[in-house]
Amino acid sequence: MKLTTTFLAASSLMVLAACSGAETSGDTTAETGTTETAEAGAETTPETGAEGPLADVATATYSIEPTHAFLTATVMHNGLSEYTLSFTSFDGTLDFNAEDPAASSLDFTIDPASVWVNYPGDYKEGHPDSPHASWPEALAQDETFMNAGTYPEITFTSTEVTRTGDMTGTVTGDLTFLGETQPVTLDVTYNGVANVPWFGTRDILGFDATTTINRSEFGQEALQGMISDEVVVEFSGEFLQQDAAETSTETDGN
Amino acid sequence: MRRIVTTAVLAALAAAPALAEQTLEGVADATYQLDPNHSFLTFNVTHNGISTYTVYFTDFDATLDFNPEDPTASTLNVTINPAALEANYPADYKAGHPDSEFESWNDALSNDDRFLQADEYGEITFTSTSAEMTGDYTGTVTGDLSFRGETHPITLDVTYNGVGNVPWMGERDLLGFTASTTIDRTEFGMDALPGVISNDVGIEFSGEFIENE
Repeated sequence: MKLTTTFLAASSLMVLAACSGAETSGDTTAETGTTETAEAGAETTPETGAEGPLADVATATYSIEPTHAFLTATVMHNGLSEYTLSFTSFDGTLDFNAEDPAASSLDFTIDPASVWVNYPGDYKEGHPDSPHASWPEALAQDETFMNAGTYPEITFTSTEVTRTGDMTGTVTGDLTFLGETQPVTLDVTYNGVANVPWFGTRDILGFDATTTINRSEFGQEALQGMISDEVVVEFSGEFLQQDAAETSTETDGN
Repeated sequence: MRRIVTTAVLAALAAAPALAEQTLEGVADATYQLDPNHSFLTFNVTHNGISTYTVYFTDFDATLDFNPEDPTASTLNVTINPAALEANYPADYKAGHPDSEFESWNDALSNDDRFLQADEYGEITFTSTSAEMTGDYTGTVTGDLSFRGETHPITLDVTYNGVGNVPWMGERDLLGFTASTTIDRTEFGMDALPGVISNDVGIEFSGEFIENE
């Protein structure tokens, strides 16, 4: 079955990712367990030649597949616990060059008003004077936090891509947040390519990426000490090859 | 109330450098309850072998009997509501799944027989049975995980992040922990979508416990 073969191929790539991924897992809560599922397919899948794991990947423009993509920002709270915010609306366009990944480019746009955080308490009761209706809204809109009313977009535009291994690389670019633009470098792992029947021959590429920024560099100084200056940004998700014919009928496979 | 909040924030800022410390010295030997507003519990699977798919539990509780002199004598009980999930699914679920009996992707993950089956098994529980120290501030907690009618031992890798105090909690200690484990979902009878969804499920926690009054 063609589908199974594709998954096995993708799985074998995950083994490569496991080998090289150690370089990027140092300072985050990397979900290294995700690479362990692939070992069954490893020994039977041959190398794919000079171009290695990217041999069968389309050089094309890809867009975020939003139902299989996660972007979070994590701070330390009171030095005691990791506090994680999820962005629920973001988009990315990847011009991927399979022959020369360093010639690829990435543009990312994040809606700061879409931030979600698990807050089971009664926000209004605990914050009767807050102008905000909920804690996620406060995080998104408060001038001391994301200030989405004034800065409705967070953007990242790549300027340089460097390959550091078969499956790893760095993507440096300009991050614009709270009206400040600063260069940041993402550590990126390519997890493999998949194909699913409902997207035909369009390739789906999986990536993990992580970086750490200092929020003070973007002018966000609120609650220093209580909330760490360092913010760990993590992404895991899929990019779908754009359909030149624009005839896609996007249906989730689950 | 505003004055209290402002005072608390100022006090916290003033105390910021010493707000938390990774030490067991002076930590109360007591029963602690999870602080739900500063706790995160997720599970993640690998999707199609190429991305990590992460889902949050939004309703869970835990009780920790903590013994700082002998942390291995501590016990932990966790209860998780499988009907309270957040996958942050950004698309129109009903449009994409016209034949689904569920209202949303969160609802499907919670209640579908193939997934968490919350309508049949309304609680996930973890009861510790033993604990070991592996370093000054790291250890393992082994216990029984009950999920979908199956009970199996699992072992959590735990890091103690430290103790803190905040003015609005008075003398009550706050303890921060990070914990993770990996389970095989097929051991709990969940074998839907093999290959599409990994059998290995990563479970991650980071959060705070407040000393009971």
